Amino acid sequence: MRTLSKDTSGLGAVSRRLGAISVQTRHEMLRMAVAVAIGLGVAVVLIALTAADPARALTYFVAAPFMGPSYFSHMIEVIIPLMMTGAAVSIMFATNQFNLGLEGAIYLGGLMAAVSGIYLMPDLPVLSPVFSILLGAAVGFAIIAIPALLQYKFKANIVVSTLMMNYVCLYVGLFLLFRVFKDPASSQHTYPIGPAAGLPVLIPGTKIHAGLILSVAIVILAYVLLYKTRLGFSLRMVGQNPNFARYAGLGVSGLALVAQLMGGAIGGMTGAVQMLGLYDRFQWTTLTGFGWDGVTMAIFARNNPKYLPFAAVFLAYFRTGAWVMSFKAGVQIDLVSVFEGVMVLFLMAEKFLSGTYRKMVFADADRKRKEREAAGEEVAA
Amino acid sequence: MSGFLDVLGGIFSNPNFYFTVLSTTVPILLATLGCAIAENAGSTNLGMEGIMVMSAFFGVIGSAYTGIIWVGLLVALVTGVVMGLVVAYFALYLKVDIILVGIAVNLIGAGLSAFLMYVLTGDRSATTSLHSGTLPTVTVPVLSNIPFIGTIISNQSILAWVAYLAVPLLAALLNKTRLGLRIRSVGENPDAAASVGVSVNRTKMIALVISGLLGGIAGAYLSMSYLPYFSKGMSGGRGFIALAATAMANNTPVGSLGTSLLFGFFYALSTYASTLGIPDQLVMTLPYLATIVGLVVFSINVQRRERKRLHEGVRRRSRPERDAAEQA
Repeated sequence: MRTLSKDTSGLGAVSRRLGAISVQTRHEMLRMAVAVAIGLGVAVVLIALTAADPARALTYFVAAPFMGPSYFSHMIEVIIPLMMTGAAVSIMFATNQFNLGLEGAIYLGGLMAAVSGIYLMPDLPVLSPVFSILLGAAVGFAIIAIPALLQYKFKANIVVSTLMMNYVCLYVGLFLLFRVFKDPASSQHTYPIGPAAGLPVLIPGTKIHAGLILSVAIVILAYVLLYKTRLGFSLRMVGQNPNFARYAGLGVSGLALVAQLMGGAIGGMTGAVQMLGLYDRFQWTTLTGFGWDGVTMAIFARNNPKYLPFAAVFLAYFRTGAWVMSFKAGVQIDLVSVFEGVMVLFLMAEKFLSGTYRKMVFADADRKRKEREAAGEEVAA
Repeated sequence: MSGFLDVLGGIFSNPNFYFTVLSTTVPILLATLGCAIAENAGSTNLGMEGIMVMSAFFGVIGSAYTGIIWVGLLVALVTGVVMGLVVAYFALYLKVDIILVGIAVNLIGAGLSAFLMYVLTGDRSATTSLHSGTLPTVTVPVLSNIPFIGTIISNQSILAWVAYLAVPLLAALLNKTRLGLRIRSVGENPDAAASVGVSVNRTKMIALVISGLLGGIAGAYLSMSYLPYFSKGMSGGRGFIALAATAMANNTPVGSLGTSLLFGFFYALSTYASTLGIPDQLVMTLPYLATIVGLVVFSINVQRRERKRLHEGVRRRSRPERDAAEQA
């Protein structure tokens, strides 16, 4: 195939280049495009039916990040936690364990990072934020360790135990916030985090903070880990075919445990980065939702960290659109969850467009046969 | 310490406390039964949370727009059934992993209810402006005269009676009927069920629809009995608790009643926490911690039983071999 595409000009080259991509990949791309189109379609229909001024609302929804620098910077801020939790969930889901406990890890990771920035190490330049983030990671690690170890030792259903852990973390956190660390002068926040403990702003005039660098680094590390190391290969093998992995001599449950712990640490770190990057005081009174975002991200990226940046930009783009739309055109921001949920359903539907897949396979086989025949005739001539 | 025990004793000897236990248990029980029947068919209905929110919302809308509370209830039930069908369609026919369907349904449920609430009522957090009303409560003439128990069971919502009566009904459905046998066989071993002519997908779909119906009743209870309005995210994690409760109960309806009551008990206790002088946030962690502990105990039991069965299997198989060896 590749040898055929010698002339690189014109339509013929493009179609041959497309031909070089396997049918499976092409179908995957088609399915993704259709899923995104359905999601966008649902959102557009809902906006068109409900907004007072649909044209204005839709403009904000699809183009907001380019309609003002502060909107663009908001998009970048949104990308940071998406990338980090996406990496965490990709690693955890790679072993095919539905760990849904990131919410709790993020919440308490953020709280402990704030506590460290207020009391433990408020005023050392570089060291304070680094220590706070590492503390957040340690907290996340410890929190996920509980359900992960229960799964490892007793086979206690990790979906259920992590969901329960989220609430335990929330209420323990609320207890710590309201009964231990609350600033008596306020209704629901702590004392201010030391100025040196916060993450530095990268671009003056925006809220884009150093967490962006960390989030990119974590995505790259997650990719290298999963796709370039022996450990990552083992983790993916455990996820794809645990029986094969077992026969290959891998410790399946041990590897699953390792993946959960790594994901938990990244989750705790995400909470810390969000807290130190965007807030002066700890003030979360509900779970943040970033953990569920991580699940959506991992689904969009098919557990491959390589695609996380695309997924993050995509989600952040429309979230910014919905956010701007909510205060400029009075359309509720909750619309975005509907949009994301619909896309998740169609993206993960194995049988969605399966008829088209069959047709594509036959068409491809036909084309290949014709090519072979043509080549055969040439040889004969 | 003795002061604390006195207060605790005061709470436990007050029939109003048990009234609260029974009424806070209702939505959890309905959701748990819903998850249990789906789980019996081998499907984890993580979308219960989204089903409850959607039913609670549409129930209130139906009641407010028609002015008839029963229409609201009907709308809630239909919403639940439709959501159950959606879960079934994507999980069974489009082959999406059912956990991911659940996550998506929760996203859509939370988003769509909040979005439409603003569109239809202009409220952002709760539909208090609608005056959608509540379903009637039931007082059984003779039973309400019994001193202590009368206070506990009188004036409970009609849906509370539905919830508690659903326990024996579902137990009978699962254990005494052909459909129940099919549901359990599909959950236990789908290949074996298919080999004797049971349609696996259809049976699972029926289980998910019943699950959705129960979720619909739970949602209706939340917004039309427990509270007289819909508020954003009003299911408050009860759908997730239901998953835990059914896992602890080994997916049996009667066991579900027990585990749901455990949750209802701690929920009710947390509302009394301030009088006890313990931080209410810490009391709120108790039901969740109890679930984790219960889940571990349950898992250990399952493992022990499996090991025992394996052990016996080995022994039984080895006897004829030994006999053969002796003969030789």
